Amino acid sequence: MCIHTMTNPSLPLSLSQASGVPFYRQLHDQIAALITSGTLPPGTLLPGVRQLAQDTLVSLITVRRTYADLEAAGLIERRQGQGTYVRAMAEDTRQHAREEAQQVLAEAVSRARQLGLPDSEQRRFLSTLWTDGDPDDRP
Amino acid sequence: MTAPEPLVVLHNLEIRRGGFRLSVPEWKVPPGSVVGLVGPNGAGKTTLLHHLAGLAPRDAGEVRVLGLDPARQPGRVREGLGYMSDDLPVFDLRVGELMAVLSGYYPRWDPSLVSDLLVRFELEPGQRARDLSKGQATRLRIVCALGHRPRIVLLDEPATGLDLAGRRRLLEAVLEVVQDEERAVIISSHQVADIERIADRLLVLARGRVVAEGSTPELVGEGQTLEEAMMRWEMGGAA
Repeated sequence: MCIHTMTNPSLPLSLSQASGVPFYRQLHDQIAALITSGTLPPGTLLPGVRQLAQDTLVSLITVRRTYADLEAAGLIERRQGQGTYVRAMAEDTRQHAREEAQQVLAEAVSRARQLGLPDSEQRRFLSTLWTDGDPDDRP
Repeated sequence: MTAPEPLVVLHNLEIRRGGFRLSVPEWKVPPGSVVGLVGPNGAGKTTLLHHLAGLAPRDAGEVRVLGLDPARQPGRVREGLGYMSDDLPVFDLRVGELMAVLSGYYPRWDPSLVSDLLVRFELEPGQRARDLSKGQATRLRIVCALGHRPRIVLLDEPATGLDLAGRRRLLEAVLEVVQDEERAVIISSHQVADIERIADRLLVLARGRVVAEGSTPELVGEGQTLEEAMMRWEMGGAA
């Protein structure tokens, strides 16, 4: 095994010790910019933690933290046993929409209950809305 | 999943040398990690590394390196350990001859890794050890410590005399070792910013005592440098 063979081209990252910004933050911001600008399109396989640490000369713990933050921000996803990938933005947007819709419906149900409308009547009323509504989504 | 076996385990270590006493109550080095050993001169860093490498006895406590006691089986410990110190003597041979000698000592000596390291550290097999500059000699000692692919690498002031490019090569070489999750590096250096950059964990010593131990982000607060943290720990003197 050779000491330093990089199979993937390394990411265009540059860290500055003098900037005073912590390395995990610099890495986060630079990778996030590469993703949002489309330089790293959805589905791109990112370097492993150990590889990225060696490429950028920072500790493993720094890279782990960066990846955890990027994952929490919905920009990347870790697939068990496969690696870390740039997440598809469309799916991300859909997920947000789904969560918001669920919240709106939950609020509506809660308000209807406060107004004294029984659940059975709510269901009947909703079903009339569905049949009047989206023609592509009829049962 | 069970936690991987630590490569170094210390329990109530005591080493006394004249008026100096080093005490480390508990310490573990997990595989796959870089551990920074920091503290002012006279903190006990070299004493600790000497003991782990089987080069000096202890007065009390239990120590296991790669599952072995370095005081009882120093030879066997050193088969799996790479030790580098800035004052380690280098035999007056040509670089290539020195590598050939070392290859005879270590069954796991890796000639292709070594020729790769020599290129990266800009050393020529034909160079005579006595003609090397301070920085070149440091680089040669680093190559000697890594050539047998040790599971644990101890580096005592490996940046002595290195310029910026040399320090970069050193950091690369350290992080190369931990590409393998089974291996670990313990590095002691006055280049505190370099240690902070690459170390996952820190052991901070002052006057023979443990001042702090833990993961680097735990010990070095947000918006702070390791150097500032060391001043806060009031260890006295320069880092």
